[in-house]
Formats: sequence, C-alpha cells, structure tokens
Amino acid sequence: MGNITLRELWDRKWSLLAYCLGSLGMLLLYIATFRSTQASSQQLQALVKAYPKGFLDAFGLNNLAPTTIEQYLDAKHFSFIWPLLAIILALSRAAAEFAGEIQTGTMGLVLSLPLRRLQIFMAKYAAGLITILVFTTVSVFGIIPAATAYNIPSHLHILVPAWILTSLFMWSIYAVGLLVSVWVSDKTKVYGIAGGVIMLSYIMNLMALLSSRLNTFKHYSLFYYFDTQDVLTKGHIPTHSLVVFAAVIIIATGLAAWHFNQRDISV
Amino acid sequence: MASAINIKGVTKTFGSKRALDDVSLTIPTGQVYGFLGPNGAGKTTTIRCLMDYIRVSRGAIDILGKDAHANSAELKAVVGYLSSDVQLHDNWTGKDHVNFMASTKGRGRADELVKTFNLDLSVKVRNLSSGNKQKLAIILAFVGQPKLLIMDEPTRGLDPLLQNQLYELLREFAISGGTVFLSSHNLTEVQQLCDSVAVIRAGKIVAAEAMKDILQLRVHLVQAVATKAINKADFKLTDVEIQHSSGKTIALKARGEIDPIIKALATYNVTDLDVSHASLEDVFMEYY
Repeated sequence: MGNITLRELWDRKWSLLAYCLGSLGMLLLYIATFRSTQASSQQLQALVKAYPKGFLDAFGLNNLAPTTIEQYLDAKHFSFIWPLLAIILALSRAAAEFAGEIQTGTMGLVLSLPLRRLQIFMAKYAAGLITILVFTTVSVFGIIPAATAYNIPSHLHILVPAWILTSLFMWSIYAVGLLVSVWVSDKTKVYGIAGGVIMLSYIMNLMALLSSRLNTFKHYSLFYYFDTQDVLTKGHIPTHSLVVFAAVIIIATGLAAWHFNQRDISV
Repeated sequence: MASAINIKGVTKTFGSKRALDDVSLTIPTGQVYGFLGPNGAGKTTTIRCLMDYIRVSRGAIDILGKDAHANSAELKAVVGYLSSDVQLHDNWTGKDHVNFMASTKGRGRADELVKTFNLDLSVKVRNLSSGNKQKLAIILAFVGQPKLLIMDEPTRGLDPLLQNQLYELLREFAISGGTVFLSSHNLTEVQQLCDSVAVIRAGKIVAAEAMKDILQLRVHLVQAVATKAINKADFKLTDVEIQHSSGKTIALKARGEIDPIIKALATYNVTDLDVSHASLEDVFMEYY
C-alpha cells in the first residue's frame, strides 16, 4: 500500500510545491502591505460604512481595520483566494487519483497488484490527505516566519484552529471530488460535476448574505461553515462547522470507498 | 489434471447489453490455452472478469482453486496480467514500472527478461516505441512468481523475431508447470502455440477443444479436375459449399462427412484430386 501512496506523492510533487509556493508568495505579499494598510484603515472604513452589511460580508470588506495579521489575512487571503487555490488543488487530486487513472488506463497496473480494492482506495486517499495537510500547513503556519520577517506578531492560539478549519474545509472538498471521481471514468467530469456542486454551494451562501429572505440557504453551503473570520479573529471554530465538515468527509469518503470497491473498472 | 481456471456459467451484462452469456470454460494447469473470437465477441470482458476488474452478473470463476472475486488480492500475487491495450505511465521509466510492481510481488524473472528482450529500463515510457512498450508490459506480467499468465493479445506490436521469443518464453513457462491463458486474433499464432483453444462468439463459447481435435474437425477442402465439364448441380449437397467451379474444375468445402462428395465425384472420370484438412482459420470461420 505504501508504495502507491509514495508514488502518488512523488508523481505530483512539483504541482504541490507550486501550490505551496503560490500560497506562501501571496502571504508574503499581503504581510508586506499590513502596516501600510493599517495606517490607511480609518479612511477605508469611512468609505465603506454606508454599504449594506451583507455586501461587506460577501466580499470580505467587513473588517478594514484589522488589529492582527490574522484578521488582515482573513480579509485579504483566506476569504477568497485561498479557498480558490484549495478547491482547485483538492479537486485536481481527487480527479487524477481515480477517474484520471481509469481514463488513461494506468489503473490497470494498480489493480493487477495483490491488493484489495479498499487498500488501493486507502493508499490513494492517504496521498490526497497528505497533500492537503502539507498545503494547509504551509498556508497557515507559513504566516509565522513571513510575519516575523516583517516584525509583525503572529498568534499560535489562532493559527492552530485556523489550520484545523482550513484542513477540514479542503478535506471536505477533496472527499466530494473523490466521490465523483470513483463514479466516473473521465477527469473532466469530476471538474464539471464536483466543481458545479461547489459553485452552487458558494452561490447559495452568497445569496443568503445578500438577501435576508434567502437566509436559510446558507445552511446548505460549505462556505457558511468555513467561517475564517471567526477563527482568524478569536481562534474559535464553531461546533456546527466541525460537525458539518466531519459529516461531509465521513459520508463522501464512505460512499466513495464503497462504490470503488464494487464498481466495474474496464481497463 | 487440476484446472487453473474454472469459469462456471458466467453472465455479464452492461445495462441491457449481454456481453457474456452463460460462459463455462475449464483451463487445465500446465497448458497454453488460446481464446479466440472476433472483436466484440467477449474475449476482453472474460479476461477482465478473471482479473476481477469487472464483476460477473451471474456465475462464478475459480482461479487456482480459489474464488476469483473473494480471493482477488491473494490470487494476483500469482497471476501475471497483460492487457490488450497496454497503458503505462508516460512519465515513468521502465525501471519505475518494474520497481512499482516488484515492491508488492517480488522481482521474479524481471531482470532476466529485461536482458532477454534487450530493453533499456532507464528510458521514460513516453520515449519508448510501441514494440518496446509491449516488451515492458510482458516483463511486468512476469514480475513476481506467477503460476498463471493471463494475456490479452500479447504479440500486438511485436516484430516476428520478438513474437518467436515470446512464444518460446510461454512454452517454457507452461512446461515448467505454469498455465497461460491468452486471447488472440492471430490464428496462426494460436495454432503454433496453444495446446487447447476456446472460441467465443457473441458472448457464448461455441467451441472448446484440444488443438489437435479442433484441427481435426471435419472441414475439408476438396479440389477436383475431371475429363469432362463438371455440373455444379451434382455437388449441391448438405454441408458442402461450392467455392469455385469452372469447366472441368471444382473446389469444394465440406463440413462433416466427405463421403457424399466422393460419391458425386465417382460419376466423373477424375484426373486430379486434392483433399486437405482445413487450417484453423478455415475451421474457425466455419463457426462464424
């Protein structure tokens, strides 16, 4: 089993490195502008104070006077750009590991090994999970050296819960992507179907933020439970977020494992 | 003789399409067993069922005395597999492939075969010719200690010299107690290599015979020359096909008894007569 996991990680090491460096680079860019943004925050607050709260929430403009680097990065990085990177990375891994290998026929090589289907699933899953943890670790704990370089204090009691939440969010996206990936035999279908579901989930949250009449929609969106503002301000993860992410991960992973174990693979 | 593969009433459906229809087949240990059939007949589906890549809708398959589905992982330690459409990782080298397979199955004869086939394992697959990719796939099938080789058109893409090397390798494997189950379109190859052969058509096994028996199936090619013009009507007989008739010459293909042809020819003054057994190809064509 270990050889499959290691091989998966080795084959996709450059893309993981690129994503990590990309995330780290953006962190550095934002951290470099933290002090100057703090200085002009009063003017920005005055500029947007007349905007509706829902609009400010939807576009991450609700905290233009950040007191900590974590709050600042929430507004600049973790509320939009980082989730986008995380979604693309998680879906590309999920798509490549199963549908991609079935599409190219290389799954035949793996299936000819003396391993049970569930062992193959778990080996590939482990590679995906390690990728997620490496990316979230670099993305979140990378703040510490980057902030230190600019003499800006960072707060471990905030970063640890932030790492847990970002990891759970990315893991959920990966699990949803995997569920589609084991069902189809074409990578583009994974991007289309899982990407569509995630986009719909994002739109539902956006609609709930923009209209109080559609407020209940937010409960059906993963993005509502990915409350980076709460975690990067107070270091607090709401219980409902933990429950929902755990449920999505367990259900999607369980269904994916079950289907991969019983499906026909014509390679 | 114990059976290496025992397929018992296997049916496989894909939606409303029945790819295999109540297929039963026993492959004895120590044989090279050919599996013939045209495209879409069910050869690859049968092989994928053997490998447990796809699951049977009905029936059961035993390999080396164990259920092919329930003991799939255990069996793959002793089964070497070559797919008809060899798909390897383009960005891996041959060595990466061998090491990947050997990490769970052991190296077995891999290194010896690399030398036999004179294959450079350091080259990435994307830079290998189709023949070299096929060589690598054959080596991968031999990785570990296989007791059974399942090969779907193993000589595809190989030049005649390499084909002969592979035939030799498979014969040695069978002589040493291994079993080879191979599908092929190449009837000459099957005729040269196999001890027994099964023919599948439209998902059903239409013949499963020892090679010597299938070659002796009663299909004869008869060519006769007479002193006077031959009347075709005299040869419109049951199970006899007139392949060619021109003046004093007639060519016939007879399935079953040859005696009615001899009796019909006896009414002529025959100056030349050639009777030959049908080749495997002719016998095969009789089934389709």
